[in-house]
Amino acid sequence: MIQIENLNFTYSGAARPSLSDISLHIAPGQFVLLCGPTGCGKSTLLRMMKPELTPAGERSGRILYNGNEIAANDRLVEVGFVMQNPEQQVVTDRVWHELAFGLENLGVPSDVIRRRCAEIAAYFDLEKSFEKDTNALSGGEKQQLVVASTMIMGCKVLLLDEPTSQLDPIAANRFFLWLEQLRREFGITIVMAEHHLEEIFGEADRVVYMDNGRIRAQGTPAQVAWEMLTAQDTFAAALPTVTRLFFDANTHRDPFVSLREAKGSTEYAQLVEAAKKRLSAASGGAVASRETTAKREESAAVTLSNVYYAYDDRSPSVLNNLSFSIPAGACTAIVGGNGSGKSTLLKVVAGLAPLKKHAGKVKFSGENRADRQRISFLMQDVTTLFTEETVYEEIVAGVKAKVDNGGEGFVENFLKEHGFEALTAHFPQHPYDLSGGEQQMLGLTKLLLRDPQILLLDEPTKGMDAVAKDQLAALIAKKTKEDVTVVLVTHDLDFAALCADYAAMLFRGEILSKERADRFFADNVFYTTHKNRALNA
Amino acid sequence: MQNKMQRRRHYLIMWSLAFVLLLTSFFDATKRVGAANNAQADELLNYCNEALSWKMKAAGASSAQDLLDKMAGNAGRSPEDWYVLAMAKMGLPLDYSAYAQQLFAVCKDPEPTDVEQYRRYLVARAMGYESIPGTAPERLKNKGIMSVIYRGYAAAAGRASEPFILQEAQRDLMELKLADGGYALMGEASDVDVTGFALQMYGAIRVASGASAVGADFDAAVRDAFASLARTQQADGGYSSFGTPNSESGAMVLLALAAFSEEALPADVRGGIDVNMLIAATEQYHTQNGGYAHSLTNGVASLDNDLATAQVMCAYAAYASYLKGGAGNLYPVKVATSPVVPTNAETTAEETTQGTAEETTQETTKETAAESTEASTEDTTPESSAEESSAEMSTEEPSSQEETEIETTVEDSSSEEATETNENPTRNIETTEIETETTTTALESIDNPIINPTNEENSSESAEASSDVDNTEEGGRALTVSKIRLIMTAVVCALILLAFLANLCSKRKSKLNYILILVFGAAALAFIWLSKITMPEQATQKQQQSYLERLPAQGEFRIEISIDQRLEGEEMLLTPRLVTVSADDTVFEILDRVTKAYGISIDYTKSMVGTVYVRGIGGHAEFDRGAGSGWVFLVNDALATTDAGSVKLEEGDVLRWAYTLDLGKDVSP
Amino acid sequence: MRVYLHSRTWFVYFIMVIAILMSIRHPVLILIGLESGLLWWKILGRKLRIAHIFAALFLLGALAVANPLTSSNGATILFYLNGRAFTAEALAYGLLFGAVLVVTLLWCVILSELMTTDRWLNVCGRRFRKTGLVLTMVFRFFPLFTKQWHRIREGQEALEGGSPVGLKATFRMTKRELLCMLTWSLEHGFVTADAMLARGYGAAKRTFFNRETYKAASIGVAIALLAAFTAVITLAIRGGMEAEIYPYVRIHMDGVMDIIGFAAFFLLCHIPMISGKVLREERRMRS
Repeated sequence: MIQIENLNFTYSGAARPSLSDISLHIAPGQFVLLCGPTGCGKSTLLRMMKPELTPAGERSGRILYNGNEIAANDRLVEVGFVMQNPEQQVVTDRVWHELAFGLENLGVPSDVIRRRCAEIAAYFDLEKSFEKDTNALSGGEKQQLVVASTMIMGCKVLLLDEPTSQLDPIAANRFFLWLEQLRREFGITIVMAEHHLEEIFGEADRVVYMDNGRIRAQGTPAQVAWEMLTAQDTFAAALPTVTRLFFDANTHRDPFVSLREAKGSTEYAQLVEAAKKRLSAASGGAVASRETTAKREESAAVTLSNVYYAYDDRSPSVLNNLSFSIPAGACTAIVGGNGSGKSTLLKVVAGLAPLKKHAGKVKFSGENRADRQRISFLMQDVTTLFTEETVYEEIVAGVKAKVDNGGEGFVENFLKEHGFEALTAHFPQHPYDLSGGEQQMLGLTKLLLRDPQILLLDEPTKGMDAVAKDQLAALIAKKTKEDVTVVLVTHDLDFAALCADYAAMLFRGEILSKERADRFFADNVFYTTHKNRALNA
Repeated sequence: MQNKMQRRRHYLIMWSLAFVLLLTSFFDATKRVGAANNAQADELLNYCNEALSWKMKAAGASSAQDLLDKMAGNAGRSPEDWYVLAMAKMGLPLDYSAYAQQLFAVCKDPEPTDVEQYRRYLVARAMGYESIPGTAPERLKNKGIMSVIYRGYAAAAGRASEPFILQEAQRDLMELKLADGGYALMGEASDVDVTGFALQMYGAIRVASGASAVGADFDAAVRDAFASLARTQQADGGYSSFGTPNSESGAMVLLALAAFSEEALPADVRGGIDVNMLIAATEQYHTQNGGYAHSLTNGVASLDNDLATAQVMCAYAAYASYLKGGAGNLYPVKVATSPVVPTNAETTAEETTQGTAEETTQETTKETAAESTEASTEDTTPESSAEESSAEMSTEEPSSQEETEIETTVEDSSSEEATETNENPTRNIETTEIETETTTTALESIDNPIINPTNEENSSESAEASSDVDNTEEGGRALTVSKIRLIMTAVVCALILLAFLANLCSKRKSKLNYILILVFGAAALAFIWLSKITMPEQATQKQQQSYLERLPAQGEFRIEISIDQRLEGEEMLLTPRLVTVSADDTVFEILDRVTKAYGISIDYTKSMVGTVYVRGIGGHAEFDRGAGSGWVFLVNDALATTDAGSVKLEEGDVLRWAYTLDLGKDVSP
Repeated sequence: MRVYLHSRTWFVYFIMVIAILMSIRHPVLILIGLESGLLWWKILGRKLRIAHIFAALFLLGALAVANPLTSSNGATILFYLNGRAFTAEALAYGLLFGAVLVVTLLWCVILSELMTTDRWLNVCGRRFRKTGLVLTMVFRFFPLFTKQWHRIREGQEALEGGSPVGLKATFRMTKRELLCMLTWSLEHGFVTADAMLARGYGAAKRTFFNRETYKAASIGVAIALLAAFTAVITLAIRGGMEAEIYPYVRIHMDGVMDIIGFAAFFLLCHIPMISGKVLREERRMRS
């Protein structure tokens, strides 16, 4: 269906080519997964296949769609494109109008639009939400709406550029299942670029692994996983946990790509044993250090007592009689489903959501009023912090005095200390030109420069790849060693298990349990890390 | 969540619409339409230029400057002065020095009339010269109306060094007001030219004194004068004088209209006169040559008249200046820099009278203290000093003349007053009043230096005292200043309470709202208690009278009413006059209104069925002069048979209330 | 998608009522407007709260007192305030104007409640497609941008450690928020533009997805509204329903033209309420 022959592409004004010698064949009905580290060229490749969105630059090589070459000014309606951020893709204010938008653009007459909208609403069970305001939809629903309104135009190929990066894992899962249903019933071709490989890696028909604009490996998921693991690529950390856990280079068996596959194998139990042994050997030191941390005096940095919070008088309480103490000098992960009130809890601690008179108390290290400057709160949308033109200005904004007093190279040293050297290269760039992970790094830098005693992080791993996640985990460990209290709110349970000392679950406005992180995840059956799921027989 | 967003959207739309509404409402004032006015102004200035070119051709001048130089020979002695005024008002950049020199030379004329002196002063002012010796004396030889007007104008133009001269001029003119609101050289019927000129002086005085200082009956006088002009406007829009339609009368009316160029006057003061028709009518006198005729010969303007052309030019130039937003007075007027507080007790509240009396006390005490020492060394006989001072008068400044007059009065009064000035403040007030009165009377007649002012000062003092008494009597009415303040405070407090409650009961309360309410409430209360409130006491009656004399609108008409108590040797309680009534006013309502307006008391009863019986008017009650005496009313000379509450009138009816001695038989024909 | 009255009819209805109220400021018309407005309020399911009454009275009183302070037209001078005449007629005018304002605000709220975004879109209709698209995008982005503004505010406060204290700090904070908002909205716009392109924007001439049908009822109602409106306006021009305040308060209420005018306006206000189907539809939309 789509044939790419020897494609090279350089952005106009760029020094290096973004794509070098790409040759790819996508058969109709296939599900092709593009993966690779940030900046490898996945998005660029996807955009090349959609002529309306092809960026300006030098191009050599051919892209053929059904045998016809795609030129730069073509319009290819049969190819649909879905981007990362569902918020930014919804154009109109009503669901029905969003569905009709594409057809209106094509000049389809009104009664045809009516019929199409009706049938797609019936198929996707959107009848109840037909009149809804698009602002009222959740992130996942919005992304589904975008796909639906692309599908209504009758596209045969769906290109998705990291569609779940802005969604929480539960919504992401739902999205993937839904796509799977579409693929099964309509046989559309799907080309997806993703970081979040945990669930989707096993579902793909073909996986294309790219790095630095070149294709490193293509083939079935098992093949590509084998190649990556044997080559000990750094990107192998992004592979699904099951694949990594049960991989043994000595056997010539294909790596497992899903837990079902693994459990179906006859050697499952031995594999679990082997994996456990390997893990305890590797992380022995880490466990020990964890226990030493546990033996330290556990004073509470923040204590919340009987907190009730509601957004206004008429809405139900988000936090219901919540009592919780956050241990000082440790990283506490707060997990919970959507709408459980995690972000609100952080806002209450940060003082952004002031409590009413009899709605509970927030105590800081024994006193009621802490020095507010020492709490730093990184919110979900990092871009809300960016007000300057360049990254360097952004870093020094607000802490000019400190930077001046620190002398030459203060900023560079600071970045190096915290593992953010990558930002140094981007100093003259605009903050919005950075990738998602780099933006998170920039936000964290801004916060850390203010020398906080309590660091609150709300979904810091959104849009990060595995490498960046490791870096962040290292940073958190460093900070806790420096006696900074870190509170982490996340959906990413693997990440929470990686760096948290304590974990607590927030359910319907109350904290249910607070335990040491490893015990917490080990005790949970469903809401737990992939590793635990894989290893619990 | 959806509802919240919808609500926010709704509020946004609602409040932006409300804001737009409020904005548009503020343009609902009676503002002049700038563009149309500018067009009209330019048109008028075109006519002026045409007339000017006619004059230039007639005088054989090549340019306006040339014309000016040619006219200089007659400076101060001919109607060509009006051309100078017009050219100055048009704003032509001319060199007036030659003309001014000639004018000054003429001013040394040995026997000038008052009018000529003032006129020369005004022409010189128009040309830009501030003080001209030998013009505009402070005192008048006689009090003819033209002298009064010119003096007032000159005072407003800057000649007055003391503010009370303006007030005196204003008072003098108001005394000369005729019954129908207008003014005339003589007789009871108002003359358009004189009324127009009087209005110009009013306008000048208004600018010079300041709008707040002229008092409420000033507005009433102006309104009456304009009303009289409105009444006599002809069907074609023009005006006539002594029966002859002419252009100059129209020009004078236009000058009067231009003289009130401030927005502060209520809209209906200048109303009633159709300006566009007036201009159109004046243009009828525009001859083919470009000049203007005095009157039409055989319906056509053919004879160019110098004075007519000059006056029309002046009128157009002044009105054009008014339309463009500039000063509309033909003669330059010095604008009041600080509000002038009149010492006239009739128009201000008692407090201010006391205040200014104390001020003048201090001033005069200083003067008296300074001069009493001088006086003691001078000649003691008041007559001789008065003669000396009168001899000095013609060469000295007028202010020194006043001082010498004060000197003489101080001398005349016993010496104890001079020593007691500091000890007895109340007595001082009386003496100050006496002194001010005597100074004014002294200024009026230089031929009679005041030796014994007791008679005059007593009469003026009693006049003042009676007016004071009147005021205190009226002060017992329902509305006083303090009551008004209390009412307004109550209203503002009620509003604050409402706003508070609204905020309290609303879903979305905000502390900011409370603070704003308190701040604005406090500001409003401060405003109420710190601002100056004056009562329009005298004005009410005048207002009512002018209401009766207004032009009838749709559904209204004019009738003639008179109240005759039929006593030999006494004037009628109400001389026959035209009043405007509406179609469904009963005779009694008309009587009630008229008597209220003219301060005539009335005694009546209303029965349960609604019939009205008038028992007495103006103190004359029934049965006073016999068994058959009482009040009856006649409509068109027909004796009424029903009660006054059930008779309605028609246009042009003559209503006459008469006191009969014989059950009506002696009054009906 | 069955709709009983076309959006344009609704729009015209509101414009007519508000225009008449604002131009012919007659007390009886205001009362009629108030009565029908409150009726709509009830139909739309909104409750008349005490706060509304207090606010309305406050507006009335404030304007009644404020007008004489700024305008001295009117013949009956009560007293002079700082040299300016405080006339009874100006007070009456202030009261009247306050009443007009309150009733117009009431109708504007009803307008914004009845004219949903769908309706606004249909007012633009096929003829003003581009405007319709812009309108729908405005309705989409306005709540989004306000939400984002709040988020930015929270983010900045979180960074600074609290809300700004003092005028200078608040000013700086607002400046920062504005800059942040600008950049963010620009970036957002780029992605949205891409999304629109991806969905074929500009491929062909856009059609308009018409969800409302012109039923005969809409046209009939529109004609009736127009007839009532012209009746009121012509009667007003010819001199009926006069409520002059300056220079003397003269309110005409008893003439034949007045009565017919009042009846016509009453009809105008109540025409859409006559049909039970319309009311049921509105209630259903808001349930």
